[in-house]
Amino acid sequence: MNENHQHAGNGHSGEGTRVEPLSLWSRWVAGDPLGSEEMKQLQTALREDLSFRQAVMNERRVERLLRFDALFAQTEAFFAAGVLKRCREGATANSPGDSAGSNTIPNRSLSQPHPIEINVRPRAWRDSQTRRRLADRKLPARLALAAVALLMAGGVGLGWWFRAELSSGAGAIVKDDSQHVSPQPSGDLVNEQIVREPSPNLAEQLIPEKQLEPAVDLTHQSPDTRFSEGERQPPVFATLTGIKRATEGGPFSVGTTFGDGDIRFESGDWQLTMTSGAVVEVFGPSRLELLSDNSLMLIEGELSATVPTSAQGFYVLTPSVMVIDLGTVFDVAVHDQGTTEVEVRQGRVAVSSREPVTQQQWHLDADGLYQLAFYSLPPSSKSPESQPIASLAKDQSGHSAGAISLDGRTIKFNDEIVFATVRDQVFQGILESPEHTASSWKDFVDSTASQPEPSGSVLINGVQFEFGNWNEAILAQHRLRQLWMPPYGTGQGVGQPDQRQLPQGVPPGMGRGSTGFRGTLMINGQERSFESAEQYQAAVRELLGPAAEFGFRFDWQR
Amino acid sequence: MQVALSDSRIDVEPTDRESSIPVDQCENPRVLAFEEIVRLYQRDVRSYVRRYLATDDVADDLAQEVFVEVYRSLPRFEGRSSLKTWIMAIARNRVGSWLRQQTRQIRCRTIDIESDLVQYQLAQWQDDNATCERQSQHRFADGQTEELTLLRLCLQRLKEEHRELVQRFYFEGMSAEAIGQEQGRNAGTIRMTLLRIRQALAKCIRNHTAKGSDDE
Repeated sequence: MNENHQHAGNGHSGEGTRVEPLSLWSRWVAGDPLGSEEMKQLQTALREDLSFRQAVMNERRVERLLRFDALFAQTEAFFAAGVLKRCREGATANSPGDSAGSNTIPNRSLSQPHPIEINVRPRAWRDSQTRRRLADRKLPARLALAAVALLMAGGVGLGWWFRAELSSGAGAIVKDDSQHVSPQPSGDLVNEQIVREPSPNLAEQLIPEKQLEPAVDLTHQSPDTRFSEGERQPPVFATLTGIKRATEGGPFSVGTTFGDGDIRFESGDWQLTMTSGAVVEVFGPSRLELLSDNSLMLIEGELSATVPTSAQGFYVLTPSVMVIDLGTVFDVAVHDQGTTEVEVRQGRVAVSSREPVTQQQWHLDADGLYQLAFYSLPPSSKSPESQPIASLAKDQSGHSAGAISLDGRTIKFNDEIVFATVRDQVFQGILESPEHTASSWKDFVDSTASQPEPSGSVLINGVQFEFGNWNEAILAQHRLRQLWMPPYGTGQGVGQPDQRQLPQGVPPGMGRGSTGFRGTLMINGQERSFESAEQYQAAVRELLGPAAEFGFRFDWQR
Repeated sequence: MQVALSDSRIDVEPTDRESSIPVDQCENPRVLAFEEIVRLYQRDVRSYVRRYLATDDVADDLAQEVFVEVYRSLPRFEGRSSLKTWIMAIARNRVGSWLRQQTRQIRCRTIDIESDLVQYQLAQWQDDNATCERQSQHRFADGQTEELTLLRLCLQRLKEEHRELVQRFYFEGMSAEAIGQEQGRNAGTIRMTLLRIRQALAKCIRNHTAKGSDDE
């Protein structure tokens, strides 16, 4: 690719006569008042110097794209609601542009946000047990099992590459920013340290097994939006080169070529060969759109891509991320529009959030962090103000690195349980009370970043929970909550009973309310005694400030 | 290679999609499909309109009109092109007529830079279309997302300090003044740097799309 932009902003364009008009232009677009002489000078430059004009118009275009990129997520729901409202009212512009500026995006009263429920469920990569792939590869499988297994494995601080650190105010719970995976297995230590005497059986008693709920497939709830398939016109972006198990048949046969537009595969496995040479296997039911001869958007479903070096630059968009191939074999799955999973089986890929505010970005590597789950709210439910993003990457041994972002503030976690606990609170919070959640998150992130890592312990009825940093403190809190609040976790918790750290001798269920909840909390040398859950929470808040929000909330009233 | 992609995860799902739409709309089943269409293509349409319209509000207003027209014309859509191509053609026409209308209004007013720019935009729009006709493909209009994608790619190629500047200014909404204060530079310098970054980005985007296309 071209190198011209490697040193963008170095002032290449400032040669000769253009310097002066350019600075005038800069002031003009910034809204600085120009003198009439300056105004005239700028106008003349624009009229007479074509290359200057072209340059500034291109520059404006980028400006608008950047602004759009930054605000898209926040305005998406408003925009759609406005369109529907206009359609219903039949109040279209007979004279286009007349209403421009007056009533931009109508309020969203027409289309209330969809009622949303967050369900955490260990749903498998769909039917992966039974699926046979075209290339006869080993499948991503055993996910429900893995969920349990991973919960039992501790987190570990893994190195990773993370763009959001650039953000001001971005907090970092994990202060490990090395660029490479450091497979040092410290994760289990974290957990063992916190709770002595684990008792898995108790956990089973305390926490009911989660109910699996049937998946809701959006494509089956709305009428078919296909309007064209099997493009007859050039350009050809891809050709169908293989079909397997397409029991329901379909309009496609081997050799069918596709241009842009939606393609929907209801069932079966389909092999598409992009004109660039990349081979994409799509597993029905899936819906995708070819964007070019070397890129596509996976709207829903699963695919596996094998990208030869000749197809360098191949990428896959999903509703939430962009996956750029860096010479590899990888799988992508999109679930219910909100979650994207990526797995690299060979080589490397770069995955970045399509929410520009957060700019979460990962490099996945078959030998290192090779799996990524990316969580966002589905587009139809996006809160117009704030869009939380969470992602969790894992390496082969199950060690994980996670990040959660909201409004440009990001925190990293090295423990999956901590990640899931905070993620659920943020997602739930943003749906229930977006403003409060957004401002709490800001305080939380800023506060965790600005104060020292909490070190200390909670001694409660003879059971001690120790912690030495934010991750561990949240984890300790999680354990406490599980012990004393058995119902917690059945709805929005981490999904599975956490079987590793329950101390023996703790009677089940006694923590509901305040009975028997007494002990001592020690954080960074300060000690507080408490005789009820409320007092305990108050003590945590006193010692940690706004940081005692996400991951620390006890929610005794639920 | 053993694989376990998922853990406990959040699945967020609209529990009842239909219920969010008032009953009177449900009488027409295409409303639901239409909602999906808006969701799928608003990014393309809105960013396309922004290529030529300077004000966000006005651009979104026009983009909404595009979708209203799509809604009304949907029964007449014959599937000769892809849906996206068809929608983008509507967007193209809307933008063209808006620009023409604006330039007509402008002639009655005092000439100023703002007005000149609208005329240049119209010329740009005509140029773009002509170029696309020549290549018999509406690359950008059809795949506006691509331009945003390229923008991302190009952003990654910036020097880190410049990328950070873009991040702060656009994505975190910091003012040039605030950034300047932080870095001990004045706001004008920050704005100028941003402008040069944008020029570099524009060049980068063009270099990636100009493969084989005419340069102006």
